[in-house]
Amino acid sequence: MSVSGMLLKIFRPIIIWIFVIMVTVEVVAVSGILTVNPIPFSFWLVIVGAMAKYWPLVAGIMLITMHFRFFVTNGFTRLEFLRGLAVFSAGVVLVAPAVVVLGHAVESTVLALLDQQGDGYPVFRFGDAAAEYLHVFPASVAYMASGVLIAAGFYRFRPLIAVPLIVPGAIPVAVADGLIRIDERGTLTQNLPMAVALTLTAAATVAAVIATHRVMRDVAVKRTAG
Amino acid sequence: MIEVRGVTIRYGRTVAVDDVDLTLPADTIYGLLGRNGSGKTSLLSALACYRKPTTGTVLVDGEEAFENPRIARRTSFIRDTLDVQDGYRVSAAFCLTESLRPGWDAEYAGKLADVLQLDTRKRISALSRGQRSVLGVILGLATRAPLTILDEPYLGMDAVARTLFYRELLADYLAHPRTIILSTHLIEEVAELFERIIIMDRGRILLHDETDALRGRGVTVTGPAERVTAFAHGHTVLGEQSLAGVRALTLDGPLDPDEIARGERDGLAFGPLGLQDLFVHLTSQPLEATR
Amino acid sequence: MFDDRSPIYLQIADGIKNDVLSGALKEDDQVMSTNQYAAFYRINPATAAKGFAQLVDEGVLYKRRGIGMFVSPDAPAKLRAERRQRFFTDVVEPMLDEAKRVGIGVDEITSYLGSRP
Repeated sequence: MSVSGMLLKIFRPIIIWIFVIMVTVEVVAVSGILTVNPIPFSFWLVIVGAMAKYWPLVAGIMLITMHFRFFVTNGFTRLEFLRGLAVFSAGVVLVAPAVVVLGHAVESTVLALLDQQGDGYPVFRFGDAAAEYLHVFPASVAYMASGVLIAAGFYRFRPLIAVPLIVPGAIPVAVADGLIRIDERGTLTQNLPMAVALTLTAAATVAAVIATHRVMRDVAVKRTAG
Repeated sequence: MIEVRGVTIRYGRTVAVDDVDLTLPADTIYGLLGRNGSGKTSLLSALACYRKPTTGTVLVDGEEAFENPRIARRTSFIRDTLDVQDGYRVSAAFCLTESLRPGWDAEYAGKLADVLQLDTRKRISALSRGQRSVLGVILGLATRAPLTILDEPYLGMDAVARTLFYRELLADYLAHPRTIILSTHLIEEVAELFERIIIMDRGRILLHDETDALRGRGVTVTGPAERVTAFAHGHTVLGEQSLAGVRALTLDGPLDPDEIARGERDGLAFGPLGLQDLFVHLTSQPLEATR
Repeated sequence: MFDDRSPIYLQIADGIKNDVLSGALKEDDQVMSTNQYAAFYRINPATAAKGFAQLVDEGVLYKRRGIGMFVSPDAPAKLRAERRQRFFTDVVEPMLDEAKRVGIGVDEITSYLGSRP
């Protein structure tokens, strides 16, 4: 089985669980709010918008700390694993923003049918879907790239060296978060022209990918404690 | 065939493996012996490409092994610490390994778990040291990799489990010949399985020979001090003991029968040295003697 | 089964020779294959193969391609002749050496042997 296919198989139960929990939280929390008054913001954009950043970050860390060893001790080279990681990560960061946008569309539609969109609720419009996606996507990519790189630093180096390396490792996150954002009111922010902002995020991500390759390409496979 | 060429592994200032050259023909069972800290695990890590040597290379069938997908597929290295997630159940570890290892024999893994009494429903974190070792052995053998490396696979296993393991290892090797390297301290109980023995000492290969050639290689000579000393002239002395004019020397033989006959006529007594004793004598030499 | 104080392949060869001498293995009997032997005695098959090769070299066994190894027809007689010869050097000579050391004469030995039922 390919590395990316196998990663998907390993992560599938986790992904399904998280999705189920998100939907449950959304339904319970929004129903609760609606008993008081119509909702003035998008709850989905709050929780799943955050999830689209932090889950790739956590997954990135897990891929290095847990899964790297499993593959490399079972017949795959470091480079093969890193390629599979790249394919799997690309899938995650392409799908996560889509879940944010689609969920927002569903939430907006249901609230409209119930006539419960409060003042300031970001009503979903099909024409804005692409722009919304593009305001979530850079952060997903950057958080994943940073997660992988920082974890790689800790995998290879002693804490004394790995801790300071968090700073350069976090550059993609800082760039993406600083330049492109979406908030719970659906406000899209870009601090530079979109093309420039996207290019800078892409550059920071590519730099992180290259750095990850450098750190991991001939790293020793660590032992577990005990 | 595995060729180790000028491999050195350093950790900071510590030299774990010191310029090792080694040629290992395929489809052979090797025993790797050495005291703790002699560099066995480091050398095995380099063989399995778990660690890139500081200098030197490892070739498998003439190809550079490091980061070589073809060779990675054909190599399995089981470390005493195991490389599976502690949270998984044994059965899940089998399943995951099966999906990555095309040669995995699930039926055989099940049979081994049965014979070695490993409960596959248990979580790995709940296994005793001996059971973890059994799991390692099963992962190593059922993968059926053409190069299978087991680093002290018996830790915590009781005498019965070890005997069963050795029996299974030999039976599976007979059915599926492959290169197996097993590192161990317990020489006497496994020596009969090894075609060849490699002894490491302080990062270097002290000896690499057919196991059979080592049986009877060491000889003890006992008798009056002067005559023993005279007899030992020209032989490598591995150890000595003296008591009230009687001297016992351990010589690195083998001695030819005529020589022994001559010694016996001189009133000297000869005794063969077991493998364990030979190993102890060879690896307890002070540093200068082995350089 | 085997001790590690002398090469196992020699111990294997000696064991089979003893079986031939005792009649446990007869002329043209098939012996175990090296793999069967290795599995039975739990030793490395290469070591077993070396023991069998030694016996083929010495003419105790002969090979039939694709079938296996068999006891040579003249093996028992040959081995017996060898052992008879070695009996004097390996058994009698050391005994005489020891007798000399403790002062037992040849007469004393022959009378002892003659008095045995």
